[in-house]
Amino acid sequence: MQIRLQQIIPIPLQEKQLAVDSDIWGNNRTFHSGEHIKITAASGRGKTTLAHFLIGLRTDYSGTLTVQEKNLANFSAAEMAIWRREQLGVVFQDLRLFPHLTIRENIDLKKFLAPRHIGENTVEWMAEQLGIADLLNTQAGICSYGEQQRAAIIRALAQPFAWLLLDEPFSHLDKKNRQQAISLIQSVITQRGAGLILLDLESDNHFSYHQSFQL
Amino acid sequence: MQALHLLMGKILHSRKGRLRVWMGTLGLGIAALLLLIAVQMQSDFSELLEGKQNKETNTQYLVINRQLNNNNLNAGGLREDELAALKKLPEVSAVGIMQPGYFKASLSSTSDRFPFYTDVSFETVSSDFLDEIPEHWTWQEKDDYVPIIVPSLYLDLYNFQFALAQQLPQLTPEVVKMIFFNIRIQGPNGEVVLIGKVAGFSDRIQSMLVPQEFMQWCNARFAQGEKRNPSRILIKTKDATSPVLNQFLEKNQLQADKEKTRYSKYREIVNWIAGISGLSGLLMLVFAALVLSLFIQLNIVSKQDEIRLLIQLGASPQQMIGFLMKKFYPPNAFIVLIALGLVAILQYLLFGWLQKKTIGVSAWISPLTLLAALLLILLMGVVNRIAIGRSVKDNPTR
Repeated sequence: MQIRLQQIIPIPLQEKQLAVDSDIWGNNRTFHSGEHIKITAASGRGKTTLAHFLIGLRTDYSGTLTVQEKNLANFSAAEMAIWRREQLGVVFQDLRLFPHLTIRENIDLKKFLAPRHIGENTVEWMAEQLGIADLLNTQAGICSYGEQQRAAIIRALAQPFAWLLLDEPFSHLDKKNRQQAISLIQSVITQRGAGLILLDLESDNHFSYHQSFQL
Repeated sequence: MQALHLLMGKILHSRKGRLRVWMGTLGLGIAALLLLIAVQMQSDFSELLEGKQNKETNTQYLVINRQLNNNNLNAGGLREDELAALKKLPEVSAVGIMQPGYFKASLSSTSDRFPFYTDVSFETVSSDFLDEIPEHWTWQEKDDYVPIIVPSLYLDLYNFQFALAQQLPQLTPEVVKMIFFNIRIQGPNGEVVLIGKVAGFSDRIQSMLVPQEFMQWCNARFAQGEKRNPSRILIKTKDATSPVLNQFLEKNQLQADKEKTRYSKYREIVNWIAGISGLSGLLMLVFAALVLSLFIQLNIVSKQDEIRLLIQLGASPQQMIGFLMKKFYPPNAFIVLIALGLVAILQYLLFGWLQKKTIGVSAWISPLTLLAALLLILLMGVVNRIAIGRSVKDNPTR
């Protein structure tokens, strides 16, 4: 499943002339199926904006963003729902968990939204891998940011996807937890042959990237 | 799907606005109840007027004539256009012309031992309109006597007033039927004396009735003046209290037996009440639907962030609409069913109460009421679907 960015420039950021020295804004880029993409940017360069464009939450940009040669901005509500629940796993920068649901319910929601479920054992196994197995029945709202971030990662992995989009996914994790999360993500995307787009502040070598860009 | 709906229910559960829910639901319930009662009332009325159980007891005969006042004395009887209009009324199932005799007539005793004499006048009407048809209710010139039907009231007047006052013997109907007397008919072309006999008594028609053949024979020979419109008619109706019939009579300056038509005004009032009940039910239904629709939209707006996040996570509009319909619609449909159940109970109680008064209505609600409830349930579905569809559509998916 190919993603193509053609001359994309966010309208609110046009005046800041961001396109002048960006590898993404105002350029033509193609992300091929199964590729690992790293996009690095300092604060305010539009990482989350780009993530929202890819998720389809915003369309306030010039240029064209296509998925499988189809303009994402023209997706119907039903097509958009399929894109989000079956083709694109997302870890939001602001996590976006339902605070009054338990960790397990937050994950199950994603699992039940898609027609093809992953097994309950898989969720338990992922939670064990990330050290939050004993928090599965705890309300998300009372967990720490680090715990919520790990829950958000599992939620993203609990759905079927061709691309996994991570927006500063390890910002609240210590080194050990970060490494565990990276291992889990790596094993799942390898198993599914899925692509990865990681948006972060700094460059890193968490994954072996096929393409790296400065935003 | 079940598990997903459970989770969505937990996400969108709100303690806020419960009072609104109850108010909306109560309004809807009362509106549905009023509307269904109005429909059932109309069905009961129809059954009372047209149902087999009540048909015989309801069929009534009304004698109709012109209301006389200072301006229309001797103005003639009922015109043909009035008769035609009367025949067209749905309440009138038959019209019988009461043909009067246009000649002088008198009755007198055939015996000097019991002398009596009285001037009389005759009328005739088709035998379809008689409450009791005597055995030999016809006449030919060669017949021995002329049969006459006398109002029962006349015999009562004789037995319970005249006989007592004049020290005369009381007479049973059977004895009266055995008495023969002379009938003298007079006209410009001469006179004739015939033998007559009381053949029967009528509670329905307050007139001395003779067979139609006899009346035709007499009028042909002894009538005075030109042929005139009938001055009285007899109608057969299944609803003497019908406001439509009584309004027609009033408008055309006609009158009928006031005792039989007295309830017309009450009927009119009951019809108004049923109409007002139906109309208020309908108005309440519109308001309740509006309140419910607003309530659903408010409820959805108050959970807008949660719904937006659900959509961001990949919930499709159809999944959202399916869930919200499941959340809001069954209680609404259930309310209509409860209203229907209440109407059924009320109908059963009404049946028991009216049965004691020998008035027959069905113990069960009518198919029309069931159909109305079904339509209400469908209407609720449409209102719910539109309100939910609009609210989900209004939620940004991007």
